[in-house]
Amino acid sequence: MLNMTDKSRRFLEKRLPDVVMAEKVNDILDPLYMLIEVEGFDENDDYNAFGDEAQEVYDDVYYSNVR
Amino acid sequence: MRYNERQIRRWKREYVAMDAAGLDTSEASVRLRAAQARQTDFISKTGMKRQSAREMAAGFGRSQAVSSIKEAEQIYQNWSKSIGANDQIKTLAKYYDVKYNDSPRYELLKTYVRSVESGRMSPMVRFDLYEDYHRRIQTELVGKQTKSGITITGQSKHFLERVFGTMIDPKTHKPRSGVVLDVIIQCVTTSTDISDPVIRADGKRSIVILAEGIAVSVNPDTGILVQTNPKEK
Repeated sequence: MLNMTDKSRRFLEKRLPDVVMAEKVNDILDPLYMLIEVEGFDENDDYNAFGDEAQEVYDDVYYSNVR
Repeated sequence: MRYNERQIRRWKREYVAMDAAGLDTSEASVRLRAAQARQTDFISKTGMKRQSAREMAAGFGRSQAVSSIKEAEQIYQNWSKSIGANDQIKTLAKYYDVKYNDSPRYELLKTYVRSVESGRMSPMVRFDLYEDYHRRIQTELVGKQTKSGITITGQSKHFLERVFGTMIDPKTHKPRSGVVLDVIIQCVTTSTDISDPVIRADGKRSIVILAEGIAVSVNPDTGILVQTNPKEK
Protein backbone atom coordinates (compact mmCIF):
# COMPACT_ATOMS: atom_id res chain seq x y z
CA MET A 1 0.00 0.00 0.00
CA LEU A 2 1.26 3.46 -0.84
CA ASN A 3 2.12 6.02 1.81
CA MET A 4 -0.20 8.97 2.31
CA THR A 5 -1.89 10.89 5.08
CA ASP A 6 -5.30 9.91 6.44
CA LYS A 7 -6.66 13.12 4.95
CA SER A 8 -5.45 12.14 1.49
CA ARG A 9 -6.83 8.64 1.87
CA ARG A 10 -10.24 10.01 2.82
CA PHE A 11 -10.17 12.31 -0.21
CA LEU A 12 -9.36 9.42 -2.55
CA GLU A 13 -11.95 7.12 -0.97
CA LYS A 14 -14.55 9.77 -1.68
CA ARG A 15 -13.46 10.94 -5.14
CA LEU A 16 -11.43 8.09 -6.66
CA PRO A 17 -12.36 4.96 -4.67
CA ASP A 18 -11.06 2.60 -7.34
CA VAL A 19 -7.45 3.70 -6.89
CA VAL A 20 -7.10 3.93 -3.10
CA MET A 21 -5.48 0.51 -2.87
CA ALA A 22 -3.24 1.00 -5.92
CA GLU A 23 0.33 -0.23 -5.59
CA LYS A 24 1.91 2.01 -8.22
CA VAL A 25 2.12 5.73 -7.62
CA ASN A 26 1.11 6.68 -11.13
CA ASP A 27 -2.05 4.57 -10.82
CA ILE A 28 -3.19 7.23 -8.35
CA LEU A 29 -1.47 10.27 -9.84
CA ASP A 30 -2.80 9.84 -13.40
CA PRO A 31 -6.53 9.80 -12.54
CA LEU A 32 -5.97 12.46 -9.88
CA TYR A 33 -4.32 14.70 -12.48
CA MET A 34 -7.32 14.26 -14.78
CA LEU A 35 -9.71 14.95 -11.90
CA ILE A 36 -7.90 18.22 -11.22
CA GLU A 37 -7.96 18.98 -14.92
CA VAL A 38 -11.72 18.59 -15.17
CA GLU A 39 -12.90 20.00 -11.83
CA GLY A 40 -10.02 21.97 -10.37
CA PHE A 41 -9.89 25.20 -12.36
CA ASP A 42 -11.71 28.50 -12.43
CA GLU A 43 -12.25 30.63 -15.53
CA ASN A 44 -8.89 32.38 -15.02
CA ASP A 45 -6.97 29.08 -15.21
CA ASP A 46 -6.28 29.31 -11.48
CA TYR A 47 -7.10 26.51 -9.08
CA ASN A 48 -10.48 26.73 -7.40
CA ALA A 49 -10.92 25.42 -3.84
CA PHE A 50 -11.27 21.86 -5.10
CA GLY A 51 -8.13 22.22 -7.22
CA ASP A 52 -6.15 23.38 -4.20
CA GLU A 53 -7.44 20.46 -2.13
CA ALA A 54 -6.76 17.90 -4.85
CA GLN A 55 -3.27 19.29 -5.54
CA GLU A 56 -2.47 18.90 -1.85
CA VAL A 57 -3.39 15.23 -2.11
CA TYR A 58 -1.35 14.89 -5.33
CA ASP A 59 1.71 16.41 -3.62
CA ASP A 60 1.25 14.18 -0.58
CA VAL A 61 1.02 10.98 -2.65
CA TYR A 62 3.92 11.99 -4.87
CA TYR A 63 6.34 13.18 -2.21
CA SER A 64 5.48 10.37 0.21
CA ASN A 65 6.33 7.70 -2.35
CA VAL A 66 8.71 9.09 -4.98
CA ARG A 67 12.27 10.15 -4.19
CA MET B 1 -1.50 66.45 -11.51
CA ARG B 2 -3.43 68.36 -8.82
CA TYR B 3 -4.33 65.08 -7.15
CA ASN B 4 -0.68 64.07 -7.02
CA GLU B 5 0.25 67.46 -5.58
CA ARG B 6 -2.38 67.07 -2.87
CA GLN B 7 -1.10 63.57 -2.07
CA ILE B 8 2.49 64.79 -1.88
CA ARG B 9 1.51 67.58 0.51
CA ARG B 10 -0.62 65.20 2.54
CA TRP B 11 2.17 62.66 3.09
CA LYS B 12 4.70 65.39 3.83
CA ARG B 13 2.40 66.74 6.56
CA GLU B 14 1.88 63.19 7.83
CA TYR B 15 5.63 62.65 7.93
CA VAL B 16 6.20 65.87 9.90
CA ALA B 17 3.43 65.06 12.38
CA MET B 18 4.56 61.47 12.97
CA ASP B 19 8.17 62.55 13.30
CA ALA B 20 7.28 65.28 15.82
CA ALA B 21 5.31 62.76 17.86
CA GLY B 22 8.21 60.33 17.81
CA LEU B 23 6.11 57.77 15.90
CA ASP B 24 6.92 55.53 12.95
CA THR B 25 7.30 57.58 9.74
CA SER B 26 7.84 54.65 7.39
CA GLU B 27 4.35 54.60 5.87
CA ALA B 28 4.45 58.34 5.21
CA SER B 29 7.89 57.99 3.61
CA VAL B 30 6.82 55.17 1.31
CA ARG B 31 3.55 56.80 0.32
CA LEU B 32 5.28 60.12 -0.27
CA ARG B 33 7.78 58.48 -2.62
CA ALA B 34 4.94 56.71 -4.44
CA ALA B 35 3.06 59.99 -4.91
CA GLN B 36 6.21 61.75 -6.11
CA ALA B 37 6.91 58.92 -8.56
CA ARG B 38 3.35 59.16 -9.92
CA GLN B 39 3.80 62.89 -10.36
CA THR B 40 7.15 62.48 -12.14
CA ASP B 41 5.63 59.90 -14.47
CA PHE B 42 2.59 62.07 -15.19
CA ILE B 43 4.74 65.11 -15.97
CA SER B 44 7.13 63.16 -18.19
CA LYS B 45 4.23 61.73 -20.19
CA THR B 46 2.23 64.95 -20.53
CA GLY B 47 5.07 67.46 -20.85
CA MET B 48 3.43 69.68 -18.25
CA LYS B 49 5.60 71.89 -16.07
CA ARG B 50 6.17 70.80 -12.49
CA GLN B 51 5.09 73.40 -9.94
CA SER B 52 7.28 72.53 -6.97
CA ALA B 53 5.74 75.25 -4.82
CA ARG B 54 2.44 73.40 -4.96
CA GLU B 55 4.12 70.31 -3.45
CA MET B 56 5.51 72.07 -0.38
CA ALA B 57 4.30 71.47 3.17
CA ALA B 58 5.15 73.42 6.32
CA GLY B 59 7.89 71.79 8.36
CA PHE B 60 9.02 69.48 5.58
CA GLY B 61 12.39 70.81 4.51
CA ARG B 62 15.58 69.44 3.04
CA SER B 63 16.59 67.32 6.04
CA GLN B 64 13.12 65.71 6.23
CA ALA B 65 13.28 65.03 2.50
CA VAL B 66 16.65 63.32 2.83
CA SER B 67 15.53 61.24 5.83
CA SER B 68 12.29 60.30 4.14
CA ILE B 69 14.01 59.19 0.94
CA LYS B 70 16.55 57.12 2.90
CA GLU B 71 13.79 55.49 4.91
CA ALA B 72 11.69 54.62 1.85
CA GLU B 73 14.78 53.29 0.08
CA GLN B 74 15.66 51.10 3.07
CA ILE B 75 12.14 49.69 3.21
CA TYR B 76 12.29 48.93 -0.51
CA GLN B 77 15.72 47.30 -0.15
CA ASN B 78 14.46 45.01 2.63
CA TRP B 79 11.35 44.06 0.64
CA SER B 80 13.12 43.54 -2.68
CA LYS B 81 15.81 41.46 -0.99
CA SER B 82 13.16 39.30 0.66
CA ILE B 83 11.59 38.45 -2.70
CA GLY B 84 14.86 38.17 -4.62
CA ALA B 85 14.26 41.22 -6.80
CA ASN B 86 17.15 43.27 -5.42
CA ASP B 87 19.62 42.23 -8.11
CA GLN B 88 17.26 43.04 -10.99
CA ILE B 89 15.49 46.12 -9.66
CA LYS B 90 18.13 47.66 -7.49
CA THR B 91 16.60 50.87 -6.20
CA LEU B 92 13.22 52.29 -5.35
CA ALA B 93 13.62 54.73 -8.22
CA LYS B 94 14.22 51.81 -10.59
CA TYR B 95 11.19 50.04 -9.13
CA TYR B 96 9.02 53.03 -9.98
CA ASP B 97 10.61 53.20 -13.40
CA VAL B 98 9.59 49.57 -13.97
CA LYS B 99 6.12 50.30 -12.61
CA TYR B 100 5.45 53.20 -14.95
CA ASN B 101 7.59 52.37 -17.97
CA ASP B 102 7.87 48.59 -18.15
CA SER B 103 4.33 47.32 -17.74
CA PRO B 104 4.97 43.65 -18.61
CA ARG B 105 7.75 43.42 -16.03
CA TYR B 106 5.70 45.20 -13.41
CA GLU B 107 2.76 42.87 -14.09
CA LEU B 108 5.10 39.91 -13.66
CA LEU B 109 6.34 41.32 -10.34
CA LYS B 110 2.76 41.80 -9.14
CA THR B 111 1.82 38.30 -10.27
CA TYR B 112 4.84 36.89 -8.47
CA VAL B 113 3.92 38.67 -5.22
CA ARG B 114 0.31 37.46 -5.48
CA SER B 115 1.43 33.87 -6.06
CA VAL B 116 3.66 33.92 -2.99
CA GLU B 117 1.12 35.70 -0.80
CA SER B 118 -1.62 33.25 -1.79
CA GLY B 119 0.60 30.38 -0.63
CA ARG B 120 0.51 28.73 -4.07
CA MET B 121 4.19 29.36 -4.58
CA SER B 122 6.95 28.98 -2.03
CA PRO B 123 8.77 32.14 -0.91
CA MET B 124 11.88 30.02 -1.52
CA VAL B 125 11.34 30.90 -5.18
CA ARG B 126 12.96 34.28 -5.61
CA PHE B 127 11.78 36.82 -8.16
CA ASP B 128 15.00 36.63 -10.15
CA LEU B 129 14.48 32.89 -10.71
CA TYR B 130 10.77 33.41 -11.39
CA GLU B 131 11.52 36.05 -13.99
CA ASP B 132 14.22 33.89 -15.56
CA TYR B 133 11.86 30.90 -15.89
CA HIS B 134 9.10 33.09 -17.29
CA ARG B 135 11.55 34.39 -19.89
CA ARG B 136 12.77 30.89 -20.72
CA ILE B 137 9.25 29.62 -21.27
CA GLN B 138 8.53 32.59 -23.51
CA THR B 139 11.69 32.12 -25.56
CA GLU B 140 12.09 28.33 -25.51
CA LEU B 141 8.49 27.11 -25.60
CA VAL B 142 6.24 29.82 -26.98
CA GLY B 143 6.06 29.43 -30.75
CA LYS B 144 6.95 25.74 -30.60
CA GLN B 145 4.49 23.04 -31.64
CA THR B 146 3.30 19.94 -29.87
CA LYS B 147 3.43 16.69 -31.82
CA SER B 148 -0.33 17.03 -32.32
CA GLY B 149 0.21 20.38 -34.06
CA ILE B 150 -0.82 22.84 -31.34
CA THR B 151 1.32 25.98 -31.31
CA ILE B 152 2.20 27.16 -27.82
CA THR B 153 1.20 30.82 -27.50
CA GLY B 154 1.79 31.59 -23.84
CA GLN B 155 1.63 30.49 -20.22
CA SER B 156 -0.93 30.98 -17.50
CA LYS B 157 0.08 32.38 -14.11
CA HIS B 158 -0.90 29.04 -12.66
CA PHE B 159 1.44 27.19 -15.01
CA LEU B 160 4.47 29.02 -13.66
CA GLU B 161 3.29 28.38 -10.10
CA ARG B 162 3.13 24.69 -10.93
CA VAL B 163 6.57 24.70 -12.58
CA PHE B 164 7.96 25.84 -9.25
CA GLY B 165 5.55 23.52 -7.46
CA THR B 166 7.36 20.62 -9.11
CA MET B 167 10.73 22.02 -8.03
CA ILE B 168 10.17 22.58 -4.32
CA ASP B 169 8.94 19.87 -2.00
CA PRO B 170 5.86 21.31 -0.25
CA LYS B 171 6.58 19.19 2.83
CA THR B 172 10.20 20.09 3.40
CA HIS B 173 10.21 23.36 1.41
CA LYS B 174 13.53 22.25 -0.02
CA PRO B 175 14.32 22.30 -3.75
CA ARG B 176 14.24 18.96 -5.53
CA SER B 177 17.05 17.98 -7.80
CA GLY B 178 16.73 18.02 -11.56
CA VAL B 179 16.17 20.63 -14.20
CA VAL B 180 12.40 20.53 -14.36
CA LEU B 181 11.96 23.16 -17.05
CA ASP B 182 14.06 21.23 -19.54
CA VAL B 183 11.91 18.16 -18.92
CA ILE B 184 8.76 20.22 -19.52
CA ILE B 185 10.11 21.65 -22.76
CA GLN B 186 11.07 18.20 -23.99
CA CYS B 187 7.68 16.80 -22.99
CA VAL B 188 5.71 19.48 -24.82
CA THR B 189 7.78 19.42 -28.00
CA THR B 190 8.62 15.72 -28.42
CA SER B 191 6.05 13.54 -26.67
CA THR B 192 3.47 11.71 -28.75
CA ASP B 193 1.58 10.51 -25.68
CA ILE B 194 -1.21 13.08 -25.90
CA SER B 195 -4.74 12.70 -24.56
CA ASP B 196 -7.92 13.54 -26.38
CA PRO B 197 -9.30 16.92 -25.30
CA VAL B 198 -11.15 16.89 -21.98
CA ILE B 199 -13.85 19.44 -21.17
CA ARG B 200 -13.27 21.30 -17.93
CA ALA B 201 -16.05 22.33 -15.58
CA ASP B 202 -15.74 25.91 -16.86
CA GLY B 203 -16.24 24.73 -20.46
CA LYS B 204 -12.64 25.18 -21.60
CA ARG B 205 -10.87 22.32 -23.32
CA SER B 206 -7.57 20.82 -22.28
CA ILE B 207 -5.17 18.18 -23.57
CA VAL B 208 -2.66 16.36 -21.39
CA ILE B 209 0.82 15.56 -22.72
CA LEU B 210 2.64 12.80 -20.90
CA ALA B 211 6.33 12.00 -20.80
CA GLU B 212 8.57 10.11 -18.40
CA GLY B 213 8.12 11.70 -15.00
CA ILE B 214 5.90 14.59 -16.06
CA ALA B 215 2.45 15.63 -17.28
CA VAL B 216 1.73 18.96 -18.97
CA SER B 217 -1.67 20.42 -19.93
CA VAL B 218 -2.32 22.79 -22.80
CA ASN B 219 -5.50 24.50 -23.92
CA PRO B 220 -5.77 23.26 -27.55
CA ASP B 221 -7.91 26.23 -28.56
CA THR B 222 -5.63 28.99 -27.25
CA GLY B 223 -2.24 27.26 -27.05
CA ILE B 224 -1.82 28.44 -23.45
CA LEU B 225 0.19 26.22 -21.10
CA VAL B 226 -2.07 25.62 -18.12
CA GLN B 227 -0.81 22.95 -15.78
CA THR B 228 2.06 20.61 -14.99
CA ASN B 229 2.79 18.03 -12.34
CA PRO B 230 5.54 15.50 -11.70
CA LYS B 231 4.90 11.76 -12.04
CA GLU B 232 6.87 8.70 -11.08
CA LYS B 233 9.40 7.82 -13.78
